[in-house]
Amino acid sequence: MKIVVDTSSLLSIGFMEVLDETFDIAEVYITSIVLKELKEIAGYDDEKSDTAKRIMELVKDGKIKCFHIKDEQFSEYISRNVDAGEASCLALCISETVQFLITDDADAAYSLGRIAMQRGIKIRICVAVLMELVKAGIITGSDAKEKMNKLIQQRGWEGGVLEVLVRKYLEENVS
Amino acid sequence: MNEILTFREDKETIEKLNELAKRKMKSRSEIVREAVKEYVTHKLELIEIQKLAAKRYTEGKLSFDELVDILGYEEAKKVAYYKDISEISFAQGLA
Repeated sequence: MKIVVDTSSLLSIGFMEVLDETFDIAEVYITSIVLKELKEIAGYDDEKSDTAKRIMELVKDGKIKCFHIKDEQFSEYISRNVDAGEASCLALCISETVQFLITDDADAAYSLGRIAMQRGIKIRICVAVLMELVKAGIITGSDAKEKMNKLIQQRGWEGGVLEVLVRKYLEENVS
Repeated sequence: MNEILTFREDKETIEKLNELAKRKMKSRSEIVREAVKEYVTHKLELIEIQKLAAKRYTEGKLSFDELVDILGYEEAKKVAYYKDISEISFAQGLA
């Protein structure tokens, strides 16, 4: 299975420490613009920079496949809520016929939702990867719950939604 | 202890900042400090309100119309969409 992952979700997956496990369930694709964003984040002095550096290593090792997308392939998707990174990820889904676009950016997801649906692309958040790892038996439900609770602390209003869904899917049916 | 923050801004905004500083008889640093403080405080308060509303909506304790009353139509649509894709992500994974 192939997935295109934008910067926000890559950082979330890295933050939850399941980057290596993700390669057991999916081929991970990114664009050169996402890589550029990661390089910028790696240059900051904050908690995200180490994760960004780790992801860049995985790109260098070929574990994450990076594609160059031409401006004209994605510029029409850029808007107030969608930056070049997210727009290029949608274009990559289209050009490589990838079914899943993983983004944790609520603004971008909302803005790209309609066009993605028209193109048969499913938008998911990083949780989908985590739940797939649970389904594959690579991590347990309680691992997933712990990782999600850690991630929720890093989130803005989205944390309110995730908090309720963690209770519903990972506390009531925990394996 | 105060920290020093350096940032770059375009010429047009810097000219407006100079004009505002002149009219308010304050330094540029004072204007930027006030603006950042006000913006950050407002944004954090807004996130808390959005978070509570998003949580109640996801729990089914708020209707979409009530969410619109609190957040406005566009923000409410965004929260509802995020709730939907999150729910699908939890329920189906990558299926």
